[in-house]
Amino acid sequence: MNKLIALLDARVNRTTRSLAKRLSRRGFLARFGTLLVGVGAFPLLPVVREAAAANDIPELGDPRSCDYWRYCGFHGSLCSCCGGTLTQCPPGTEASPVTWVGTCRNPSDGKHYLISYNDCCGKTYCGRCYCQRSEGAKPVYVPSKANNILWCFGTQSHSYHCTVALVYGESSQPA
Amino acid sequence: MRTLYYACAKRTRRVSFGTLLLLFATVTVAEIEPEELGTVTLSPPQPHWLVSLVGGDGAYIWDGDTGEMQGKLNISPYTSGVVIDQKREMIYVPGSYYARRTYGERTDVVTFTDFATLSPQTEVIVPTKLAAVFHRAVINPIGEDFIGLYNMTPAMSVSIVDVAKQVFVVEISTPGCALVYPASGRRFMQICGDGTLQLITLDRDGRESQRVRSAVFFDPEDDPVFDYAVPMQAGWILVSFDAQVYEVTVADEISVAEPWSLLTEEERGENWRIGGHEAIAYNSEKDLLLTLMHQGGEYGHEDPGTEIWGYDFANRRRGYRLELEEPTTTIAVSADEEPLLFVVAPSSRALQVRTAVTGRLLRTITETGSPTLLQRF
Repeated sequence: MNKLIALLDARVNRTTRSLAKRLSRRGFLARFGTLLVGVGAFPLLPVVREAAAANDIPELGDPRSCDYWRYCGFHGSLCSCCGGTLTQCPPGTEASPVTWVGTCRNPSDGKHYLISYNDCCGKTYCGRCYCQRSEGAKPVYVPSKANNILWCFGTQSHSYHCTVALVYGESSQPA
Repeated sequence: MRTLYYACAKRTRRVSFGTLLLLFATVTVAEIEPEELGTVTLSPPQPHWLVSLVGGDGAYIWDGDTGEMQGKLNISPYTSGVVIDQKREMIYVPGSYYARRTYGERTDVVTFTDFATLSPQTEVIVPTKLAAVFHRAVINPIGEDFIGLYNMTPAMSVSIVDVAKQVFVVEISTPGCALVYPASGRRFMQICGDGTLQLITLDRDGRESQRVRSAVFFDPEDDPVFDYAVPMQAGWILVSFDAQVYEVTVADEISVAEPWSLLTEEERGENWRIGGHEAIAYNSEKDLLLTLMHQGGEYGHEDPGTEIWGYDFANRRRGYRLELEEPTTTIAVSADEEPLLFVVAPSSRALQVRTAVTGRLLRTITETGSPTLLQRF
């Protein structure tokens, strides 16, 4: 998982800083259900193995802007504005391995990607770069797509600070 | 008095300021009966009172008839609803607390807060699973003696607390089904991710005795219902993102009537949508349904409303359209025969009080701290 994050982060560091278009999203990753309670099992899930292939994603846009393509289902503070990056939590916070998921279209290649929105936890709310797009977000009875939940699960503290957006893999189903 | 003060100051230029104040106080004591310091107790709740929760801060109690603040409840940063028990004159406040504010040992409790003094009387420890979902239905009464608290870890369950015995009873697993909507008797309803509703009945001890599920009646992928449902006399009103109304009757079973639309084809063509956080309100005495509306595209279910639409619910006919000065995500209506409509005005950090039947503005309460959730008495 750390390797994946490092790869993605290196990719992101090469991003251009032009305004991304506001984009649509598509449907749905199979519901997480209660399987994700065991947080330690998360790296074994198929979705994570698929993500290993998503290591050369063309990028366009500003990760500090709510318009950035990966934020199509976002709700919260952008960690990029809080001492973290697009994929790394700010110092002293703890990344929640359990997430909600969006499917966003990358304007650079026209492909759809599964995006994992991981909350960074253990400090009070960052409050910077508030972003709410909620494209494809569902009510709380569909938890895997609900962005009005504090997703600080499996962490020492569920005090919410900010959220990062990681690519987990390419989606075969467009919006 | 002023003369005496100046006279003293002239005679003793080096006298300390404290000495002067002492002289001042001595003279005052001689002339005026000292006032008695005390603390106000809250009068019995009125139908036009409202609780407004400000995230991470506290819960304010307002009187809609006067616009006056009545008091403030202590809540945890994760509290998104309370239960007001009129019979026991108690307010049950769920909360999650860390020993060191953001870290250290976590304790989840229901604090029993005395209504008159707004002070904690006792507390019941519950599993450290309280859902951090900013939704009114994370806590609700179940019958007269129990409350249910929605848990998410993200496994979904409900903790039952006996408020008569002041003890935690049991955790009931509710996979796939969320929140706690009270029903008649010792029952509560939940909305499920497969497009159904679930009804759980408790026995006298607060343990599950029956569980039934409705038929599938909505598609969570294509047109989900808002998770913010509003109570009606024999059940609940659910509204979908696409403005379909589902009237749900809850008895031993759950029955859902054929849906009808809040929008005409013309309004739908103009892209009017329901959106907001608490975007729906209902008063059963006047049979009045209120919705927060805006014009926009798909995925606007959380976008703020620019208008409030009032419906004659039984006749499925819209009454008024009220244009708002400030878009908002949160409204509430009182439950009485002369209902008040409360509208959060987020930009000006105010709370508007209106007549619910016509939408006429009665008063604006300022400095309300930007409420995120409203709860009527």
